[in-house]
Amino acid sequence: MDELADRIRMDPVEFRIKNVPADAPNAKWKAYLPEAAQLFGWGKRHPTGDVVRGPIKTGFGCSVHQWGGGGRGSQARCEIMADGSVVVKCGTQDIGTGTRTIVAMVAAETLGLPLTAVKIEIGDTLYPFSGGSGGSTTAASVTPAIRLAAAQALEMLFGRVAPSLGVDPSTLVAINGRIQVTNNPSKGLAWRDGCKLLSTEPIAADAQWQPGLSGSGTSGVQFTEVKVDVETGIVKVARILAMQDCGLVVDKLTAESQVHGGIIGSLNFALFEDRILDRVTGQMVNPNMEWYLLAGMSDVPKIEVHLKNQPERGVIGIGEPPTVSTAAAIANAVRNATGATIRSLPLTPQKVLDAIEQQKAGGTL
Amino acid sequence: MKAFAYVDARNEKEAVQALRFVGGVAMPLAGGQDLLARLKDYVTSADRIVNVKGALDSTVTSTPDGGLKIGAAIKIVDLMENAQVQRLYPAVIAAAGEIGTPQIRNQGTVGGNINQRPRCWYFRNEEFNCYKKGGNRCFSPAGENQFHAIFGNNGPSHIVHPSSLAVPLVAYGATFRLAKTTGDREVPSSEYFTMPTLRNVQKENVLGDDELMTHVILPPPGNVKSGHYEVRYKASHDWPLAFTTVVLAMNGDTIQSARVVLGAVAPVPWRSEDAERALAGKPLNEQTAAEAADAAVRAAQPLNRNGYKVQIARTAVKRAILKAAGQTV
Repeated sequence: MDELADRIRMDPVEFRIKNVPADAPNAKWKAYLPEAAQLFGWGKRHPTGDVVRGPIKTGFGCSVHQWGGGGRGSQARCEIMADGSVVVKCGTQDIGTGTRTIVAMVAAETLGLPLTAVKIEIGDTLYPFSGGSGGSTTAASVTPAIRLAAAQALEMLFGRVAPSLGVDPSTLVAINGRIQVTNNPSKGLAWRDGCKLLSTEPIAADAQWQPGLSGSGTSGVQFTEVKVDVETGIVKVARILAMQDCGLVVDKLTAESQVHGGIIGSLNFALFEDRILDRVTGQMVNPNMEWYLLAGMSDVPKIEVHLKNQPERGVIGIGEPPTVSTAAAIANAVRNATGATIRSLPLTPQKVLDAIEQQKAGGTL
Repeated sequence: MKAFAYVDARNEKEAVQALRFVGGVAMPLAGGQDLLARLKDYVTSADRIVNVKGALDSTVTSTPDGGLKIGAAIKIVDLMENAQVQRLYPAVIAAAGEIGTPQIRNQGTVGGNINQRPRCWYFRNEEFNCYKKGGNRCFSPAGENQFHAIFGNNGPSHIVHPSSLAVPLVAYGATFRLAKTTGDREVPSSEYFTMPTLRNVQKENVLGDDELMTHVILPPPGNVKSGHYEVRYKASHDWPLAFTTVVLAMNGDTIQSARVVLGAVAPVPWRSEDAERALAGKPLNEQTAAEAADAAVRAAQPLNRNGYKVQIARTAVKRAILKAAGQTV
């Protein structure tokens, strides 16, 4: 894309805006590109080939991506006890994504309770069925089931509490730790007092995923700044900016963390990871953490994440989408810095030095 | 790993006695940052491990001529915090700070760092029976040699010497004290590391099987400017692609004489007399640094997949000289 843009002397972001598919809920690049470019300071980008004196050349690059995501089929159970405690059970898992957090948030918000009042039980085959975590499917598959199970449990609780307030159950809401008539806080009970009425018969509601609360298809853009030491071929990423949607953002912190994770994975793809096979025997020569390089803390740059909330689309997934663009954005930035196009990852010092030599000799293919 | 006997030596005498194991293999254990990994990966096996952490000197003392005597069992972290080493041999401190990670520096010792075995991925892989393990070939020339030597490639082995400290120690003219049951000897660092030959390919130095390095002895540095520069790909916990220590004896702003030693480019710390000649009598400036760097790599003999290391070595030499001149690089 950048090579074509250079040929017609157009800015690469402008070039992409003109050429990406038409705007759609899962195809928002025409909107994201200019906004992210502005936030990034893209206007400071120099034309291809940094002419600054000294061995460290700076480059800016960008890339756009689309991904699927979305899931279905989870089941969940929500239990409310007479002492006011709430337990949510689901046979899903948290592989570091924060599943527990979003399950707790959805349940707590549905029940009008603080996060700490809900006990989450996941990760056991004996809990209601849920699928595997992969393919950016967990949030979209699990949270609807949690929402429906908690809502159903709440309806059952209203049925048990309404008589003592002398009202119809349909008039009740659960908010701020209370069960009360809509817009009439004085006509109500604290959550714990309402639950006492359950006496010896706790509530258990089972529900499963239904369409309408989740969706599929995400789009995003990423911008990177790199510094290339042309005397050693070493590329360092200075900063990355990502603009990413995932339908309804259930929890900003864990969603941003997912974006960090995807970006770091793609940075490793761009710079470090390489399965090196001995060409004579076919044996992998780097089957260990010593030589299968992965970014350490000092190799991860500042990452700025801008999530675009699309609540009308329901919950989608965000595990994979952010990992798609970064490597391309880094390679484009290296090209902007050095003038050399490299079409092979990882961008090792060997490849970068060779490409710079080729560029000096008359251009890279 | 293979089962072994473990001896806790209480002093140097007990240590060298325990290392003398007729009919079996005995090895010293200090920080264990290399030995334990080799044992677990079946690269090395020992019948007896001799713990020398408490047995050997781990202090830094002044010598009568104004140099320093460093106990081989001193941890890297402690070496780095020693004010005398910082003042007299700053390139040693710079190199020490680039070793591994903080955890490695908290356990590893000077003696261990100098005597560690190569990182070559054929040597470290039990599937490849190379010269250094008693086999009859080196797998790097026809294989993946992007991290192997660019100097001293007559063979039979093409490893690069892995020690960060060896390079500045050679540059400062250090001597190593080695001890065994029948006595001790002092070997200049310039003679300690050995180029591989078919007869001695299984070792990287002259240390005998029953010998123990006990001290590093450094002569007084004199009026010198030193510089140390490492090129590594990852910012942390990665081996350098090439690095250099330069020690310049100055006469005002002119370099009187120089010692230029390169690391990660040859089976031994590689002294570049070409670079030293290009520096002698010259002013200490960027042009001199660039010319000396070119001279340092003029005679490089890269393998078929590591030619890029020549440029990286050149950069390491140039920037080490600029650092000696006090420039930030």
